[in-house]
Amino acid sequence: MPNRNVGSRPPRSSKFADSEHQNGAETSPLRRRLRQLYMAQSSGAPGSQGTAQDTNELEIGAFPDNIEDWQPENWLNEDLRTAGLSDLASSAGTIAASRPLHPAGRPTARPFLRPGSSPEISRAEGLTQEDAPLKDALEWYRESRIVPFDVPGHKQGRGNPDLTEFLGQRTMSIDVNSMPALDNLIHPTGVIRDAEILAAQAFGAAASFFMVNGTSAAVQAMVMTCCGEGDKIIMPRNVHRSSINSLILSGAIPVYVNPDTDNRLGIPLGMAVADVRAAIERHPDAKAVLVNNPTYYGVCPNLPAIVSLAHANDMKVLCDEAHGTHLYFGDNLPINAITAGADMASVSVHKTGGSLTQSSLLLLGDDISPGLTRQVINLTQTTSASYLLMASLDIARRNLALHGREIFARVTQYAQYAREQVNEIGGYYAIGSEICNGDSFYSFDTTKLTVHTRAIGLTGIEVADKLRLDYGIQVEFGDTGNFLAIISVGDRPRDLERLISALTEIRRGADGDPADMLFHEYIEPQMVVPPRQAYYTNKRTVPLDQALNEVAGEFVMCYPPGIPILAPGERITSDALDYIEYSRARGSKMVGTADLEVRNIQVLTDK
Amino acid sequence: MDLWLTEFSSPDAKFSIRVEKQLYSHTSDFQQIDIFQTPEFGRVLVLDGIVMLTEKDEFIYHEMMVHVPMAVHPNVRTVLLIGAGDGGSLRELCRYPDIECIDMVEIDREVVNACRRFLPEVAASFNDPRLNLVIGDGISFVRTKQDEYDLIIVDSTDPFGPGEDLFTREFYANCYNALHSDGIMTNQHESPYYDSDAQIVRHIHARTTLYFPITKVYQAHIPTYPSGHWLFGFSSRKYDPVADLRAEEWLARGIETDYYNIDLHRGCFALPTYVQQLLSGGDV
Repeated sequence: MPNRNVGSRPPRSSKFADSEHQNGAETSPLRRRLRQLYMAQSSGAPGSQGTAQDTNELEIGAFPDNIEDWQPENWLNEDLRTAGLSDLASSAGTIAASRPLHPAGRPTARPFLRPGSSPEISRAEGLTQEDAPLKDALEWYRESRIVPFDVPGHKQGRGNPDLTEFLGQRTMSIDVNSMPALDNLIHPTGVIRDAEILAAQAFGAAASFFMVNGTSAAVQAMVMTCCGEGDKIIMPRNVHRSSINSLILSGAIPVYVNPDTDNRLGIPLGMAVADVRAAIERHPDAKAVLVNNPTYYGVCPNLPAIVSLAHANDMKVLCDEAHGTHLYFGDNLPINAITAGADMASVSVHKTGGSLTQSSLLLLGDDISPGLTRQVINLTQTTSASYLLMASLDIARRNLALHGREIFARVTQYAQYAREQVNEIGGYYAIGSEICNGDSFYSFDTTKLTVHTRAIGLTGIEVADKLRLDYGIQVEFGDTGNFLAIISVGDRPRDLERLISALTEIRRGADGDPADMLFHEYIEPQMVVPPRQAYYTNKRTVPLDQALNEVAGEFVMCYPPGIPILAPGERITSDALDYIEYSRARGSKMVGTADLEVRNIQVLTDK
Repeated sequence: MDLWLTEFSSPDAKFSIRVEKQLYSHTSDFQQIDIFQTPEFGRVLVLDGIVMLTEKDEFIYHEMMVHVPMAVHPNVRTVLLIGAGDGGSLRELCRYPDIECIDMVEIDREVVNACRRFLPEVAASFNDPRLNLVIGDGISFVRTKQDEYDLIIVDSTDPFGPGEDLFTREFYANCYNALHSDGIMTNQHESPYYDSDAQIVRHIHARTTLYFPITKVYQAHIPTYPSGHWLFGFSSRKYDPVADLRAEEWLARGIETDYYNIDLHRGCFALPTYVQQLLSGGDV
């Protein structure tokens, strides 16, 4: 048996003084029994191995019911290690791990500070959603005052006083490197594994992975796990750039499904089930279907139908749930990917769930190998994962698991109130479930405040700019017809009141004519070569206004939302060029090209 | 026992009041509410650790908030009071029999309840039949009003915490729209002295100036507020607070005051040079 010693866990916040469990421990039958063993071992009595096993089994039944009074790690393993019985120490730890543990405090000594300490192992089966194992480990680290002769070089902040002053000593002191007690994201066996298991349980998934390179990395990991070079993947064209980047990385070939469009609002919806079926029939060899759930605008497709269709044809279903964290914790919200039976889902916990920016979760269903997925993630993910980001995921997960329903009931209520008030102003249209169509707009994420602005003669971009420049209010994004305000775990009614008041005032000043507003949002792409091939083909740079009919070698998009107008390998059409110029003139921020001004574009030399 | 209530005027300066005992402490949905008995200032209302009023000097603030606009506007019938949960401004308003209707919007019911219980001299007029007390958000209430009021008084806490919204551009814009074309708005304008407060003074002035053609600032000396030097805003679509002062009419009302008087009205709009400079060129 390897020397896997649960007792070497960092302490959880200790609410008992050490002497208290020492006293409690004296009366424990297990301790008495182990004392006897210890005596036997030191007197060289034979057969101690069998006895130890015996003891283990025997004492499971004798384990005290009141777990709060039972703190075995503190003394038990220490004694056993002294006695040279590290195998038994491990068994005893396993006993502890197999019991439900109270979250309030499980104090231990710090045995791994001593020579010969063992690496951490997971004990997730003993943990509940009230635990935050990674947070606890970091608190232990902070309190242990370890002398760091490892990276990061700021050494708990001392080496960069200005930064420490700016971020605070508490933050800097846990910006640490992987070490045995803190586990390692690229190969987690201890507290990170525990935290990932708890996250999987909280989201109802078979497994979860903490992602510190954003949801973009999670989306790429999904595609690269399911698709190799030349494999086909069915997806709507209104995906985030990270999805198309994943095609460049993997070499997968996109089969684009035209998302339905709401003609009144000019927003792309989801894929209609019939369109997915047609794509599957045309490309029965496709490996996977990628679905946005929801889109930026809050549009959810008929995910259960798409899942059963895909599975019936041996295709995996990958969900970009960058905007869907709350779907796992809300009542009366659209179905989430895992519940709908999807195989993988990328969830930006930082977007609506309260973790730090760039932290994210990749969730697996039952039929994807976690080991393979981990290997794929490790292709591109950092080996110096930020503990600030990971701890934020751990704590956000706990908060969501314990309070998510209540939080998102409140968020939904806020959003509903805001919708009603915005619609009462007149001119604006705050989208609600009433425009669902039973297919490509199967359900609406009612926490989203998506507001259509065209009727007041302003684009969403213009309203978003006014809000920011004149009123100090930042919304998520504006496009040619709509703006989106994210309402989440951190919102307060008074902030909504400010938004509504500012919209009231903007409405008073708006005198634009809706007639001159361009209508089109979805541009049918003409893929000439697959994204990866385009990426690796020789290119030349031409001014954008002379690029008509060339094949794009790079992206052009408004950011946010980051949905490409042109992707590598696509024909540069007059529709696309018109739309780029219109969006730019209306104040949209254009990104994607090597030219930061987005006046030039790289095109393929050989068409 | 040596018990002191201390409020920081700036990170490096503080003001302390000896406390005899604490009469009330409650955390409402919006803020921490405390009321203390003190030997120097009588009862003191403290919200989130910041002195809101004391029995000894509250008259200065409330008289200046109310009588200045009331001595200018010839015919105030409808008034909107925003904040003002302690009832001091309401008490001063109720001394004008011509006023027909006072809508008062206070976000925190607990402030009203605590003041009615422990500061009855201040919260003296909550039974006035002209009062329509709305417990709610001022910014939300005012945006639904169009051309309804002769006078709006913004008697708010500081721009951090629940009063934050009442210092925003969108709020002032909506107040402008809620006023009749000859309406007046007066607002709590913070202190020009300490740096962080001074920045807010600039913002408030810049934001009100965006909407109101006439925006003047006046001052009073309030011993228990940081620096003691306090400002008020007077914004109107029609009346200049000094040129259009109706001194005789106001005097004829026979309202007795302890701080406000007609000479002071004319003088309080004369500002120190550094305050004039502060007010010019603020960012919205």
